[in-house]
Amino acid sequence: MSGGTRKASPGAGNVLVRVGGAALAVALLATVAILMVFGDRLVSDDPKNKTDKDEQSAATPVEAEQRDEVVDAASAVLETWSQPTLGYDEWWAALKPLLTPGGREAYSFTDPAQVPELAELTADHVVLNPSGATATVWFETSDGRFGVDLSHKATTGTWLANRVVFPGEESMFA
Amino acid sequence: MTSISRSSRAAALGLAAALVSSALAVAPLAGAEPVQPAANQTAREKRQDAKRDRHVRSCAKPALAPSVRLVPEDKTTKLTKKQRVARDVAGAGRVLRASARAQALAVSAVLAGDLDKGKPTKRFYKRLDKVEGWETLPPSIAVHRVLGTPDPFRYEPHWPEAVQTLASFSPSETRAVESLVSAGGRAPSRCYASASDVSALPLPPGTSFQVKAPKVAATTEPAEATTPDLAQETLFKAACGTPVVAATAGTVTVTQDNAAAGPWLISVRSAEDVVTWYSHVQNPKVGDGDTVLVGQPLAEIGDLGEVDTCALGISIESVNAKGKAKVLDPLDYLTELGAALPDGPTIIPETAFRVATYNVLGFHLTAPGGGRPGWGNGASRVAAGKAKVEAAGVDILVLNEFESPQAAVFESDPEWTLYRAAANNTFRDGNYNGNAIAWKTEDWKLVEETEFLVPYKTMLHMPVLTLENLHTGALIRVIGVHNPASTAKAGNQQSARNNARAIEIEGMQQLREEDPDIPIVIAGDMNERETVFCSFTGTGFLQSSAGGSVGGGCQYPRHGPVDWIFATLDLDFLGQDIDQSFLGRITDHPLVLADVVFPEHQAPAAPEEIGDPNLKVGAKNKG
Repeated sequence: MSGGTRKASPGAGNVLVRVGGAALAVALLATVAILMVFGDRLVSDDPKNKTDKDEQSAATPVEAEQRDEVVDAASAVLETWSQPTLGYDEWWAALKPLLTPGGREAYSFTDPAQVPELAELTADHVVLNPSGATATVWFETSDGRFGVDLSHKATTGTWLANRVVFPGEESMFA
Repeated sequence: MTSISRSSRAAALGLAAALVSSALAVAPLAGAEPVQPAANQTAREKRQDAKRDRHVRSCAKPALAPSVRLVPEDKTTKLTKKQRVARDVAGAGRVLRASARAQALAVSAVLAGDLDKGKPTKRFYKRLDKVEGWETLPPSIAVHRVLGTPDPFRYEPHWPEAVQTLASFSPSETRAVESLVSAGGRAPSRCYASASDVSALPLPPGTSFQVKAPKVAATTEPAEATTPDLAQETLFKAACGTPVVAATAGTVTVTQDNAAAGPWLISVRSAEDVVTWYSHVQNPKVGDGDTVLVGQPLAEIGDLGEVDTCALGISIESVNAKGKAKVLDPLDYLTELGAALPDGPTIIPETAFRVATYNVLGFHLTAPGGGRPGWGNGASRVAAGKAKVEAAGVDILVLNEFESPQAAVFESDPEWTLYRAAANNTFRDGNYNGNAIAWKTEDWKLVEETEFLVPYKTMLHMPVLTLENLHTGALIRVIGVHNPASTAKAGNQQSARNNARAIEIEGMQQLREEDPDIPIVIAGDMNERETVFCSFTGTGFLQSSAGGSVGGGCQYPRHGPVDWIFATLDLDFLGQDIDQSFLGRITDHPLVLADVVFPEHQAPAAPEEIGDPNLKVGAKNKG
């Protein structure tokens, strides 16, 4: 994975995302810490997207932990996906384990050179399905508002991505 | 229980040589997962299982309709720039003989702004053809695999508009084109459920899927009918995004709190209290309380909940008055109760092909001393003609004046199979000339061959072949003829031609009596115009690709050459082209081509029972 720092934008709940090696680990830890503090705000700070589902997902400790896991997983997907400088093999080897079976089917034929290089990733909204089976995390980025749709696999305890939602598109779980 | 499979590894796309471990890519499914039949299964049950499996298999494979024909542009309607490009792209698909689905995929790429006319279009169709299993992939995924664009779902919103746009260029209604562009556009009609059916398969005809039966044997013990036991569900594995349709009619309930089933567990309860559960789905199209009929869209195949692949989970329970449920075998229930019964007649889907007739100008005529100075070598001329024939997308070709050195051009190419009738003339060097029929090896195979014999100065041999389409199973007869010519040397040969025609008509009448379900195409250099047209169409069972009358009255069409293509009325001619570029350097005749469609029909008797293998009409047998 190539290194590099992506600029953080100012504001509460912003997440500085670094791409590459130890920097990524630090960034993810920082993300978790920030989310533990601002997690509830991340869920509720976009009034136009406030729904009954958001209300249902408001802040029990267990759900806050789940949201953290979801944001971490979504951030990792978006960072990994958004690396147009990588060759296909390297790009796919990193992205594939983060995707559901359907996600792998969908993205396996992507030309990474055509993927936008996103900067200033800020996770600003999380929607959890009441069943706990799916979630969508929305990010403000240098190229507009992207989302990541994820589903939870109980057998492995992991959140995997179904798709990256482009600006102007709807979540598949909407 | 059952395992249906067709599949293969997904191939790498051209954009990256190392694209992906194919096990995870979508393709027609393969690798059956065998399920042991019950130990106490009777012979009758085994037969029923086999029949059911055959039925499911026949409906679980793509059956694409041929390309949509474009009507001439209406000059009064102003097209937008995108529509104009879309029209060009759809037209290119027609020329390249792409399927209707491929045309619509290309148009959706145009509407998304990702495809332009010209070379990119040709490249698109070529690459699409190389994407394994593209026929049955969700449209957006198929286009994405060709273009490698960042968002595989980018073309989803453009697909309905693409179908509508394609329909606007065609003589058909949008609804008809919607059917043509589906993966099952030409699937046998028995695969289609009607709203009045009790049950049917939960995936549309033409979808490639694999059925995986539960590892745990279905219980017949009563159980509570609140949620399905997912360990006992039957999985229909197919590409994520494949439409899921109602397998039974009834009232819908959507449960959203079953994590193992995914965020939408859809159930449909019938009036007879049979409950069908659909799990792991995405993009639901129905909500609580909706009433659905068999075949109505419910959702799409997903990978949500506890499932390790893209699959639809189906569980069916019959609920009694006390609310107790009995688990039913989904495949048994859905294939034995519904309209999609396996006992129906075999239906052959619509079969389209391009036929042409090509008098090559015999080799010896342009050889030194052959009396036609200035012409190129006969074999080279045929090689040039063959390249043009291939560029024109011809499937079946009637050849006249065809000599051994010229035959070698086709015989050395495995993409073609050549049948040469017995010699009309044999030369001193051992070469011989006569009539032949060539066909594309990957599309057709020879089932039966015979000849019409026409006495002339020598015995003329006219090949009569029965060909089977390898994709649809359609059977046709093709007859290649070359009737006597009037020349300065030979004088007027009208009476010889009258005799030849009479023999040919009698032979065709005999074939029709014996095998009325097998249509006939008769083509070749007939060395006459009005007389042959009026004589053949006057039989009442032949039409010309040039148009004109059929039956009495003889209205001659606009047609210059003495080379003709006629067919029986059970075939449809879509149009005729005359390629004059053959004249002068390649041969002294134009190439006459026709697009032919054999509509969907019931299969005739088995090939081995067709016709009389010893049939020789008109004169004594050859030899």
